[in-house]
Amino acid sequence: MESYPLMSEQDYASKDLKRRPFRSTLILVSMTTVVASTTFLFLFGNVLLDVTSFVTSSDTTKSLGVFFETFIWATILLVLILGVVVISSTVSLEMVTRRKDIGLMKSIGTLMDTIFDHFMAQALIMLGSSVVLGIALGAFLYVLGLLWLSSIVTNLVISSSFPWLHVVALGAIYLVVGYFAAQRPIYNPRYFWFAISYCHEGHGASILRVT
Amino acid sequence: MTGEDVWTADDTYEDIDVDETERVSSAVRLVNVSRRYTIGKREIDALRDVTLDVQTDEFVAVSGPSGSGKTTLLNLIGAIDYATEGRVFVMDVPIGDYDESFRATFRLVNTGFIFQSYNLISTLTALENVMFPMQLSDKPLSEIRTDALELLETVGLTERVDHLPWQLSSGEQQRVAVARAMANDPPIILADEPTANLDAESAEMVRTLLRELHRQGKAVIAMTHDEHIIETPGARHLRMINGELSTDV
Repeated sequence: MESYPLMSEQDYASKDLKRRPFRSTLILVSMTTVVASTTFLFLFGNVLLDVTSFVTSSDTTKSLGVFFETFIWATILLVLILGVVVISSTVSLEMVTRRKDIGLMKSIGTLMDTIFDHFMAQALIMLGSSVVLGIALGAFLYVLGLLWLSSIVTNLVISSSFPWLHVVALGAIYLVVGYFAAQRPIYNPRYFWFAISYCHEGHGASILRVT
Repeated sequence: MTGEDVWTADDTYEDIDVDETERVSSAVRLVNVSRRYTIGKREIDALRDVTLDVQTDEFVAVSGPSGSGKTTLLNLIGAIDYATEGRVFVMDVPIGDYDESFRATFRLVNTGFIFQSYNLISTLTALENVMFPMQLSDKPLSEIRTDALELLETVGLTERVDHLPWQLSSGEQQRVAVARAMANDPPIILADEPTANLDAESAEMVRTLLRELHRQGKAVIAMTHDEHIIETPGARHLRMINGELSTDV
């Protein structure tokens, strides 16, 4: 593949984000919030699972324990699905809002690889910072929750090991899902034709195209 | 589409003699070109058997009602769309035979596009928009910048180089688009209703710029309703009706 000195030197990606401050902030805040809340619920749900099995270890409460555990497991699963869906749709929609720019770049002759690199860099910057911020915030809430829990249930022994594996797995899931979610709209030929017709006619209404 | 003479992404652009203009017989040559779109079960003939020859220094204005196929014609010449039937030669290169990455580079170097609206990349300044098509240039960045500034000076926007598209009026945006179309000094300028959304003064500026490009020896092909463009001295006027191109009216 040929190289594009201009594109790499100028590196518009982060500049682009700064030039749409409102949108960038909005996306960052919403994704961070989602990551933070899902991280917290996921980690704390795990703790509550342990607590439940500890509290309900006597015979009389065993059946109640199964109920609680199933409920918490379902919540953890739903929270994870929610996070994945929200993150992927946010990233994907953000790329869709750029479809006119993507189409315009393509119509003046920019290679798909260059366009992909440019917009993917933006998506990854947003995604990466949201995941890092969100997980940090979520983990902080989790620690707070633990402290609170141990202060009310005094005979509870809280293990001091932080669930690194869970956190890393959660971050990885978000990054992978977000990557693929951003990829689709960039490559979608329909958006290219949408943009082309927009350039020609001043609106995107007539997409005379089934490819 | 298969065979030994088909170019792939591995072939370098320099291997093709498009720059040797003295050997180029015509800027654009369409031979019995048709374009059919299929929407569900319905077939629409956007272009029917169009044959056209545009010389390297010609000014061609194509008029016709909307929906007559003008935009399709421009997209075919600009290597954005493919012909269903017939052959399209741009600078004597049969562009329909090549793959997408070749066609992308080809249109970047050989054609300057001016659209009716939404011409500029929304997050780039006027200057960056003009520099953008120069992405394949071997020149250092500072030189590219100087070239782009010069082009913006030609269109009278020296004061506005650092403005983003939304900070410019539609007339100014269109002039930036003209500067961008000139960026790689392409032999062909393609314009689709370049003056349709502009006030009288801006429209006149764009017309003057188009004529100036023609004077510099470029082939200018404009799809337009603008009588002033059609009546440009020396311009060839074609009419497009229902996908068919008819010579001078």
